[in-house]
Amino acid sequence: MTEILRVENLIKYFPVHGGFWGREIGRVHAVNDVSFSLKSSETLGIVGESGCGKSTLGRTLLRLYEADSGKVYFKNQNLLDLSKRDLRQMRRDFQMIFQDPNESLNSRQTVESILSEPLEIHGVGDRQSRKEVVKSLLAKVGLPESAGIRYPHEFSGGQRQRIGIARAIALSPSLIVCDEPVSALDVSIQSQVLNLLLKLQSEMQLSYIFIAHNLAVVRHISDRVAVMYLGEIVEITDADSIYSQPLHPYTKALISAVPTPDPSHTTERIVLKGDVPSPFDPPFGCAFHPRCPHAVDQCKREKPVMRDFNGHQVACHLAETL
Amino acid sequence: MDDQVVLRVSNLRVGFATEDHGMLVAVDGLSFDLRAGETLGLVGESGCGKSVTALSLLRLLPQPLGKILSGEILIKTKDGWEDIVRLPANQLSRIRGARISMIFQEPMTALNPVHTIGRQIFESFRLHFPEMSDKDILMKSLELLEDVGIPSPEKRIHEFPHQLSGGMRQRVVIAIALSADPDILVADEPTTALDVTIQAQILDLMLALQKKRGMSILLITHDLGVVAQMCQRTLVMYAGRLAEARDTRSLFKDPRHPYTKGLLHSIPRLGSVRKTLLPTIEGSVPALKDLLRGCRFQSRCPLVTERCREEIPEVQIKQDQNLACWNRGFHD
Repeated sequence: MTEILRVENLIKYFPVHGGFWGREIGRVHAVNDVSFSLKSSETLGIVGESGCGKSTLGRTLLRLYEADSGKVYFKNQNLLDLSKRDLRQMRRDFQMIFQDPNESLNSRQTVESILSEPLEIHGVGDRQSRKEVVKSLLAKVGLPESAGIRYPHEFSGGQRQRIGIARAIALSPSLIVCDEPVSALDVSIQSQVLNLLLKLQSEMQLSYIFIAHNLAVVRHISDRVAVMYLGEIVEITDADSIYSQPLHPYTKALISAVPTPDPSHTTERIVLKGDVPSPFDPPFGCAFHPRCPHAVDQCKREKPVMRDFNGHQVACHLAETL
Repeated sequence: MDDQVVLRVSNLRVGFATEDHGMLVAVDGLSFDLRAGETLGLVGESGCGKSVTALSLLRLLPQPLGKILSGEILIKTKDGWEDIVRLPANQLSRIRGARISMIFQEPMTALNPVHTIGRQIFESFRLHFPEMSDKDILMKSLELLEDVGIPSPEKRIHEFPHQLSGGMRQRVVIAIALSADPDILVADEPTTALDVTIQAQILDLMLALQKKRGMSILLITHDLGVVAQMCQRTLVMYAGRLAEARDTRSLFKDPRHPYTKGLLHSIPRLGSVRKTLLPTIEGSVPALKDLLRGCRFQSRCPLVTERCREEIPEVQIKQDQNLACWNRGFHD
């Protein structure tokens, strides 16, 4: 399989202003030196807790935020080098699905005009053929043809997410960044939307970056999974190993903290002490060391580098011994 | 009545007055018991009536639209049973906080942003124990904050809610809820807004406090994982009515109601086969204004028959188990 996306040393920080003159007093490293690659028709899941930078990463990849440094090769072209005009041309090939379909759909537009807008912007077809495309998009995401003349508020949350998905696939992209696409949905609707994403992936050979905090959902839909903590990827490997043989203590704690929907399941939960530190002032050395049950002196002094164990990459000094 | 029962809800009907559709019934004919020291889970999807039920228990329904239409909410007090539904408004403060207390999903909205943590706990003690001295209240507050796992409480009481993390705020809310030592804690999605590692801390805390104080917890959640790990018994609601109420182990092992079954099958699990289509419940929950007569699950049910479209399923009762389905029994 060919590589569709390769990210090298991506950094995105947000300046923090304060004081009387509103000067920059520091920076929040939302995405700090992140590298990974994604193969065509594959799904990379990105998990982590709130504030770990997973959504910022998704947005920076698509240049919805401008990166501060690093490279994002999409089909061997560095997106960060593209001019605004070339970028707009490229955008039809990568799209995004957002968490809250209430906020990402314009409530004053009919569904038909929401779905034909990307086609108009990129000058695809004429009025009549666009109508046909919209019809087939609705069918693809499991909405009735009559949905076209209605407005977003007339639909349920699950149906609105289907509209968001239809808009994302309108231009037949190769890559879709899905930012918490099922988090706002009810349990019985989540599985419908996950199934739809799986179906579209195999029909259209889509590649997904799937960002979510629910580990079971991410594992189900992903081929590979990356775990983020305080702006950095701490572990990345295939979706089965990350659950069966997690190497990073944070990944282990994260997995053990997920309540299993099975009352007879009673493994010991690793309860982490304290909260995620502020990304404004991350701990020195390994960012996880203040909460890590295994931390040694080295973890406080030295930042662990990403090491590769047969394709299973992990950034922890103690990966072999734990 | 079973002397273990501390709260009995029977035939509760709660409605909301609307301009366009008249009175919409959000909870319809719900009955359940809560026993001493147990954790009872109340699960269901948005709009199933679980939060409305919780608010009714404390008579906190939004006024003037929400109304308890009929039914009883009996609570055990030292003078015998009292019906919360029929309690005059000026008597409610005897029940709220003191007998039955509530914590909410979003701790930030439950706390007052312009007062310090200390002042908000103080207020609660002052209300329930008017005779207590300021010094005693301060001591009690520090003790309580220590109990809910807030480090250096003597510093924290001078801080404002925005200075605390989400998990710490929820701990403060729990401390306030427990200040008058209630018998029953109603927890409405207490960990939904929190990250999993923080959720694990709060759930552990709730279990520890329950053990220490012997209180009963009514845990309202949409997360079947949380229910499985926390609750001895579970009540499943669908569109305002009870679907199934059983002990949690049997419910997860052998769900009887087609809705419960569909729900349990549709969640991805850490052990399932990846990238396969998940079983789904087709369609979506009907809006309260579009409810058909008969069973409310009929439009999504794989077992639907003519009878389901005509008649509301009778609740089958076997010991303390309940099941509302025409086509399924406890043994078939």
